[in-house]
Amino acid sequence: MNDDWRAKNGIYDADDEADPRLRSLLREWQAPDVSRSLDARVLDSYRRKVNRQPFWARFFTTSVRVPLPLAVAVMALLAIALALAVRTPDVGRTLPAQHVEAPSDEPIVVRTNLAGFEALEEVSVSVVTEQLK
Amino acid sequence: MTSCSAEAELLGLARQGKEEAFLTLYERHRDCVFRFAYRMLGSVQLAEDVTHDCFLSLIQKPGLFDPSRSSLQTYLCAAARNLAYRRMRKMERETTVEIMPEVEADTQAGPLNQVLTTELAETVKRAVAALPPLQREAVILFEFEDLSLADIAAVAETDVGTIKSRLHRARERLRRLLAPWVESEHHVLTRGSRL
Repeated sequence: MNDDWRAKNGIYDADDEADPRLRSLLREWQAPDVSRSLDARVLDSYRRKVNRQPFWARFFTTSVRVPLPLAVAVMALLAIALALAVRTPDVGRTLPAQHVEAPSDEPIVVRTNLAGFEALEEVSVSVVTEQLK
Repeated sequence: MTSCSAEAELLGLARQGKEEAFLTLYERHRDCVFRFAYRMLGSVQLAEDVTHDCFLSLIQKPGLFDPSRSSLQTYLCAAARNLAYRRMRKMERETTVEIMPEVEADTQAGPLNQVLTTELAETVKRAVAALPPLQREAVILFEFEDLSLADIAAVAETDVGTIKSRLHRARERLRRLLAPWVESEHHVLTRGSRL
């Protein structure tokens, strides 16, 4: 049966009054007193919370514990990155001009433009093998 | 409501760093929070942890307490309840009778009464610890801490009808578990002998 339904229908109304006999029996179980150590602990925590420094002050004063292997690895990576950054890069360095002989007698076109260019109407491609040549 | 607003004012001062305001609130409510946590968890150490975290949350999370919705006591009990359930889930247990410390005997009573009182307290402790957590919290808050049904409903985030139902079932179970003591009326005699 639904608890709310029973409650709404007054089934527990008689139970609203405390049972004095049961209550006196239950109260034989006494809880211990609050210890002084708890008082001191709560007060100490409270003081630490309310006297907390602002973020910027904590940022400059807070220390972080890092495992030694991780710290060594990070330092090594930083050292390598620094060494690579300091080294002069080869890229962009201009090479000295070199004179190159072409293997053919025909002139090599090294510079051209599209002035007077006319597209062909039809393009036929024929492959000439070495033997037919 | 006046006391609610006064407590909200004290809380505001405590958050600004006024230690006296914090101590006033702490000393006013610490016993209730500690006893509730102790009876829920059955361990002094865990109850102290819950009490500590409960009061620190007042400072750390200022937006959670709304004086227009509930009293500070209700809020603290609700916070203690949530922390207690979190610890229960973490430790995967619902009763911790084994780690409960020995109940202090009444040293002013005679040796026989001391033994009987200790035995009775131990029996009650076990009976309460044997209740399901939702029934246990209702019994603790109603029978030990004298909270109203409406306040208990606010702590447990449910309605009064459900709390009545839980109390009814818890009492039935407790009467069954404590039947020998209820019937013998020994507790009445031991209490009377102290007067």
